[in-house]
Amino acid sequence: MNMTTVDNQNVFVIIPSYNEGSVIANTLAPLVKAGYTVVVIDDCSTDNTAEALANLPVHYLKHELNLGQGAALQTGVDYAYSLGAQYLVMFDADGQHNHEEIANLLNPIQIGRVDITLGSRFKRPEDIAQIPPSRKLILKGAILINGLFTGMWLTDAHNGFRAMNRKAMAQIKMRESRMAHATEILSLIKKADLQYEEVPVKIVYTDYSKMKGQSSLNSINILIDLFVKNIFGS
Amino acid sequence: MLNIKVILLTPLLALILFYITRLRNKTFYRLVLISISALGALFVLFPVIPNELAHLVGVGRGADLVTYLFIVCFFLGGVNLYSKIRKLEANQNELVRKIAIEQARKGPFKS
Repeated sequence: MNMTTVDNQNVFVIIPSYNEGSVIANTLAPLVKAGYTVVVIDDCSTDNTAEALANLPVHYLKHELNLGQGAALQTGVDYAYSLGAQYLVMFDADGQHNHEEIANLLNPIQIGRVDITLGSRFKRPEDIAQIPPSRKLILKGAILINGLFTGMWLTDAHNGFRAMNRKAMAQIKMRESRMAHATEILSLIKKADLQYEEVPVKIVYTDYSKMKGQSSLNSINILIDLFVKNIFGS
Repeated sequence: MLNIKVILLTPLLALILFYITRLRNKTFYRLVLISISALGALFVLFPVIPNELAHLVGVGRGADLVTYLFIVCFFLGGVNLYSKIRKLEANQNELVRKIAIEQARKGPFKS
C-alpha cells in the first residue's frame, strides 16, 4: 500500500461522548497507545465520563448543556483546527469503530487523492453480513434520503467514521446540532466541492452499541430536522 | 353599565399603549401590532365594518371573518416564534461550544 508516514500526533481523533462513561476508557486506550491526539467532547454527560478519562492523556472538552452529536463534532473540528491538526478522524465513543481502520481511512487523504473519506459498512460482503436486518432497512432508507437531499448517492448513511484533511476541516461548519448533521456533512462536502471517497469499515454491533444506537423512531425526527433546515435555512 | 364594548376596548387600548411605549427598536413589528390592535378597536366600536367586509369576501358574518383571520395569524405567529427559538438555540450552541473550547483541558488529571 502506498503509505506516507505521518506522525500520529498530527492526527486528531475526535470523539463526541454522551453518557458513555462505562465504555469510553476502553474505546480510548488503543487510540492513545497508537499515539493519536485524542479529543473527547463530553456533551454534558450525567454519568462518570469525566472521571473515567481522568488518567488518560486526552484532551477533554465539555459542553455545559447537552447540544447533540452534531454540535459536539463541530466543537471537535474547531478545536482540532485551532491546534493545527493536519488530519482529523471522527470516531464513536461506544466502541463501534475499529481503531486499526483509521489508517485505511487516512490513506486516500494522505496520498492526496481526496480531502475527506467516509466509512461505509456496505462495501464488503463480510461487513454487510454483520448488520442486523432491521438496521439495514433503516440505513437503506437513510441512504435514499441523503441521496434525495444532497444528490450524493453513497453506499452508507449515518456512519460516524470519517476522516479529513485541514482543507475539509475549514469547510465543515455544521449547524444541525442533532443527528441530521450526517446529511448536512454531505451537503457541505458538495458545496465546498471537496473530493471524497468511501472506505470500507467494519462496524461492531455489540449489545451495548445497539442499545445506545439511534432508535428507529428517531429516523423520523432526523427527517423532520432536515425538512425544517430546508424551510428555515438555519 | 358595563357593556361588551368597554370590556373589549380596555385591553385593546392597553395593548396599543404598550406597543407605543415598547418595542422601540422594532419599528416594523411595532407598526403591525399597533395597526392590528387599532383595527380590533375599530371593529369593536363599529361592528358593521367587519360585517360589511365579511360580505365582501363571501363570509356570512363579521364574527366568522374575525375568527378565520385570528386562526391564520395565530399559526403565522407560531412559525415566527419557532424560527426565533431556532435562532436563539443557534446562538446558545455557539456560546456553549466556545466555552468548551476555551476551557479545554489536557489529561491526565492526577488528584
